[in-house]
Amino acid sequence: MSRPEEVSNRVLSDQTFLEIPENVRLGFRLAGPGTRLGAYLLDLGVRSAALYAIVAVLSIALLPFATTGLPVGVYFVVAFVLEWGYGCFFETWWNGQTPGKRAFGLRVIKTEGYAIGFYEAMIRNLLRAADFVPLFYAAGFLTAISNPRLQRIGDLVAGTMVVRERKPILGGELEGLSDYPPFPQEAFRHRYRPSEKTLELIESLFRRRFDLPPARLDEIAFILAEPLGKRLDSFTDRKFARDQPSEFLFRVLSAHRAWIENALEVEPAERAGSRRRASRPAASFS
Amino acid sequence: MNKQSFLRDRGLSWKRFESLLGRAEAPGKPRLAPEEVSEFSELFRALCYDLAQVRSRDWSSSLERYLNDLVVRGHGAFYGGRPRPRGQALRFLSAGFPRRLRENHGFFWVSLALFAIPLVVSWVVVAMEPSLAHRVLPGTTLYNMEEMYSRDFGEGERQDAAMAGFYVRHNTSIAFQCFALGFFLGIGTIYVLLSNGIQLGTVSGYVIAQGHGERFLGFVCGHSSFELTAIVVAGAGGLILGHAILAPGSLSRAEALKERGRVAVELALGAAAMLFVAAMIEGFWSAQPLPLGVKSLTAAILWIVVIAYLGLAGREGRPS
Repeated sequence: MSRPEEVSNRVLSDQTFLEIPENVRLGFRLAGPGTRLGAYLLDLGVRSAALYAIVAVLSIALLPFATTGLPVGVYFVVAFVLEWGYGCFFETWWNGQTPGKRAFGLRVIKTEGYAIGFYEAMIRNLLRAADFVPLFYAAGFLTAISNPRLQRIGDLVAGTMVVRERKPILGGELEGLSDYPPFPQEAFRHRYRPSEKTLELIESLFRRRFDLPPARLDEIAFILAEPLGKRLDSFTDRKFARDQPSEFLFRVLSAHRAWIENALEVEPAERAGSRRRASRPAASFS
Repeated sequence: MNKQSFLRDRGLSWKRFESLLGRAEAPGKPRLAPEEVSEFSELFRALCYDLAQVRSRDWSSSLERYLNDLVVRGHGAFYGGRPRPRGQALRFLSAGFPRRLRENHGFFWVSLALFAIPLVVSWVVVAMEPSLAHRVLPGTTLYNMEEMYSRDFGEGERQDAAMAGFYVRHNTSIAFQCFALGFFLGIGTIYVLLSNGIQLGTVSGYVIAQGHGERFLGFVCGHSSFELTAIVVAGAGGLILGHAILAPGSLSRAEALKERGRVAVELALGAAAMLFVAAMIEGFWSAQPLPLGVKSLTAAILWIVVIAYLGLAGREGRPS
C-alpha cells in the first residue's frame, strides 16, 4: 500500500484498485462530483415529472372521492415515496443505477466490487439527509472530495462507491483508421515490427488527430517518424516518413491494427493452426 | 507469443465469457445451467490470467481496459450476492425489526430519555406558567394550536385521507432526518430529539392550560403510542450511527460505520412502518368526534400493542 505509485494514484488518479481472490488487481474508474451532479439533476427532473404525471392521473381517477381528501392524501404519500424511495427502488432493481445514472454511464457498486442490494441502496439514499447538510449537499461534497473513493456520507455508511462504466470494446475502436492504407511491413529492414508501446503511442496520437492543428500534429509525429523511417529500405519511403510524418505513422499503425478486427472472426480450426505458427519475439523500437 | 497470436488464441473464449456473463447478470431466475457455471468459473480464472499477462507484457492499454472491465463484471457476478427482497418485508416487520431493537435497547433508552425528559419538563413548566410558551414557539403557531383545539372536530368538512397522507410524509421525513443526522457524531439526532420533545411538551402544556385539554388529549392519545415510540426508535438508529464513529471499538471507523449502519437503517425502516400506522390512526381515527372515554381506552390498547410488539415479537421459542 505504501508503494510510491499507489500513493500518487490515490492523490491524482480517478481510479481505485481492488485485489480479488484470483490475484489480479482490478481498476475502477470513479465518478466525479460533476458527473454525479448531472445524474442527480436528471433524476430530479424524472422524479418531478413522475410526480406530476401520477398526480394528474390520480386526481382524475379519484375525483369521486374528492370530498374525503383522498386525492390530496394520495399526493402526499406519492410525493413522500418518490422523495425517499426513488433512488432506493431503482438502485435495487436496476443493479445500482437510476435513470440519471444510466444516462451518465454511472453505477453504484460495493467497495468490494459486488453488486449492491436493497440495504445498501436504502442506506445511501436515507443518508442523503446527512449529505444535504447544511445546504445543497455541502457535507456530501466535502466528504467525497476528502476520501480516495469519492464516497459521500451515504456511500461511507453503505460501503458503496459510484463508478463510471465503459462499454467493453475489443478491436474496431479506432474509427477512421481504414482510411489509411496499411504501410507494408516488407518495406522495413528485416521485417521490423514496432513494439506494442510504440503502436500505443501512435494510437493515442491518432485519437487526437482532429484536436491538433495539422502542422503541430506533424511536428509531434516527426519525433517518432524520423527514427522509425531510418529502418526503411527505400529512399522514397524514408523521404515519405520525413515529409508526411503523421500520415506515415498512421499507415504503419493501420498495418498492425487492422487484424484486431479480424482476429476474433477466425474459425476455431484455423486458430489451432495459427498457434503453431512460430512467433518470434517482437523487436523493440529505439 | 505476440499480441496477435494471443488475441487469436484467447479472443473467442473472451467472447464466450462475455455471452455467459450477459446471461448471468440478467435479472430473472434460471440464468446459467450447472455445466455453464463451471465453464464460467474456468473461463473466469483463465481471463484473470490473461489480464495479468497483458499487464506484465505491457500490451495495449485498450486490451488491458477491456479485460479489466470484463474481470470486474465477472467478479461481481461470480462472488456478489443478488438482492432477493421478496417475502422479506413481512418477516422483517414481524420479527427482524423488534429483535434488532431489543438487541440495541441501550440506544433506545438513551433516545427515549433525550426525547421524554424535555417533553415532560417543558410540559410541566408551561402548564404552570403558560406565558413561557412564547419563549419556545412563535405566537402564530401557538395561536393556531389553540384555535385548532378550541372547536369540536367534525365541524365543517373533514379531510381525513388528506391529513393521513400529510402525516405520512411529514412525520416520516422528520424520523429519517433524525436518523441520518446521527452521522454527525449523534449531535444531529440529539438536537432533533430534544427540540421535538420540547416543542411537543410546550404545545401540550399550553393548549391544556388554555382549557382545551379534553379535546387535545382526545386527539393525540390515539396515535401517540405509535408516533412517539417511532420517533424514539429512529433516534436510536441515529445514535447508533454516531456511536459507530465515536467508539468504533476494534474496527476501523469505516468498517464500524458499515457494520452498524446496517443495524441502524433497520431501525429507521421499522420506525417508518410504525409512523405509517400512526399516520393512518391520526388521519382516520384521532379526529373522530367520540367521547374521551372511548378514545383513551383505545389509546391504552394501542400502547399495549406497541409495547408488546417491540418487547415480544420475534422471540425464539422457549426451550422445553
